[in-house]
Parts: sequence; structure tokens; C-alpha cells
Amino acid sequence: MIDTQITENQLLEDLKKKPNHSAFNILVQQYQERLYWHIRHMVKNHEDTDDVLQNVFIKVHRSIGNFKGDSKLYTWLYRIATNEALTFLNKRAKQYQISSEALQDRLIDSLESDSYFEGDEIQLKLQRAIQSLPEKQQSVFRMKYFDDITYEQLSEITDTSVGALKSSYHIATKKITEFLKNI
Amino acid sequence: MKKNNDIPKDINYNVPDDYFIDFQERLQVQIEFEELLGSKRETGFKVPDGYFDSFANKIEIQTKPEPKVITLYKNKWAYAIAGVAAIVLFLFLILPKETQISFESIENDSIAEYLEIDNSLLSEYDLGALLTDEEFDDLSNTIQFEDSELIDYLDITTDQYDLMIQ
Repeated sequence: MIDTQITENQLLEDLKKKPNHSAFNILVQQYQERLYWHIRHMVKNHEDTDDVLQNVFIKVHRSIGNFKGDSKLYTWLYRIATNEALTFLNKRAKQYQISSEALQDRLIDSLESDSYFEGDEIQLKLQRAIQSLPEKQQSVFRMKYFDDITYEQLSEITDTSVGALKSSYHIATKKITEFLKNI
Repeated sequence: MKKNNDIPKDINYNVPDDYFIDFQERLQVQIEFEELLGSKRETGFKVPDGYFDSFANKIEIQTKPEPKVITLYKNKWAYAIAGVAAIVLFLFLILPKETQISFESIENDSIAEYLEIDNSLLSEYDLGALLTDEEFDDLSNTIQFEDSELIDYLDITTDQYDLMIQ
């Protein structure tokens, strides 16, 4: 991790210049971990996460010149990461000719033999509980609970009001608690 | 009731209208949730050692601009010539090779034409020097010139002034 954290505006300014190798390298270092975990919680497997994360940064590199700054940089990055992860999951489901839900079941099942998953029984159950939620609630719960994103940032990323997000998170937490109590 | 002096007087604190209505219920859900999962938000997911240290390099390699490649065969003529050359080479390789041509099988006229037109380095004198005296005599006997041909030849090749001197 780099020692000097430069401001988002300065970084954006540097990214617009050509060549922008060093600015882009700073961008990757500043966001790689946050985006990795965001994607990992969606696709579960490390190798797939690595592929998706690389695609995200390659897309960012290609289109950074077109970023107009209408939204904040991290918002833009999270959106790209979310879209890439969803595209990956849809492709995988099509490839296996199964539904998205069935794919999620399969991905969670494979965690038990995954060398990069050291979770215990309750953590595995938590994954199943999240998977039982509607897609929107899954997304809100993951970003709030695992990524520790504030409601204000979540509001920008999902283009949803803070009130609606708080409500969504509360309902998700309640459903997960019920799920865990009943198994 | 004692007044709270820590709150500045010029700021009005507001809460949403329904905030306290479901506060207890929300709190209860959070408590139960934490009792089940603990307060630490651990997921159990791990990454290989040093993954994040090398990730930026991996991206740098993939996003490096590729060096410009200058095409050797830019125009269509070059492609056409290369194509024809390939066909010729192909035919040369697949067609049965002809047997060696013997000197005797070549028409005399073809040899004469070659010597006259294609081989400009050999003059008549050079050719004459290749013959022995006997061969030269034989040649003189076999070739019969008409007088008129001889006069024409001398007329073209001989300078009048040289003749007068001789």
C-alpha cells in the first residue's frame, strides 16, 4: 500500500494527463482491496474475483478519459465493479445452464472445499442467508456489512435514498437473523 | 429536570418523525444479529499471501501501451508480388524437373540468335579467336558469300580512308 494518499481531485487530474501510468498505478493501489472484497463477496471464489478485478481496472484504464466527474470516483469504480461481477455471474449461469440462484447455491457449496475460505459453520450459514435475500437487499447488506460503506456513499452508488437504504438494510438484517435462528 | 448545558443553544436538533416508533425493534434485531454472528465482521474469505502487493504490477503490464508495429507489406502491390512469387515457387517445386538439355539438341539458329542478341560481350573477333586454324578453314569452305553480300559488308564495316592508305 502506498504511503501517500492523494486527494481524489488531484488523482483525477493526473489520470486525465498522458501518459498517466503513475497516476493509474496510484488509483489501482488505492482501490484494489476495497474493490476486491466487494467483488469477492459477490463471486465468492478468489480466482474468479481476480479475473473480474483485472477486467474492472482494464475497463477503468480504457475509459478514464471519458469520466466526466458527474459522480465521485469511488462511486464510479464501485458501479463498474458491481456490473462486471454481475456480468460474470450471468455468463457463468448461462454456461452451466442454471438460474442465478442455483449458481449462488453452487458457489456457496464449493466454499467448503475452497482453500481460500477458512470460515466456520456460522460464516457459511451467513452466506446462505444472504443468498436467500432479494438481489437488491443482498447488495445493500454486503456493501454495508462487509465493505463498511456509509449510507451516504451507498446512496450515491445505488442511486437510492438514504432512508430507503436504511430500511432495506434493516429488513435484510432481520431476515438473516431469522434464517440463522431457524436452521 | 436539569438542563443539558453541553448542547449549544443556537442549534436545533431534529430527528425523523417516526424515529422512535420502531427504534426498539431495530435495536432488538441488531442485538440478536450480533449474538449470532459476533461483533467482528469476519467472512472467512482469504487471499493468497502477497496478492495485493503484486496486483498493481499485473495491471500495469496489461495496460502498458503496445509498441507500434510497422507493417512491411503496406501496399497491395507488395501483396500481389509476394503472391505471384509464392505461386512461381510452388509450381517450381511441384512440376517434374526436365531432363538436362544437351548442346546438340539446341537449334543452330537459337545459338546464333543468342550470340548475336543476348551475349553482347562477345565480338566477332572473340568468337574467331575460339576457333583453331583448321576449324577456321573448314568454316571458310562451308560458307559461301555472294559477291554483292561481300561488297555490302565491306561497304558498311570499312572506312574508305583506311582502304586508300592500304
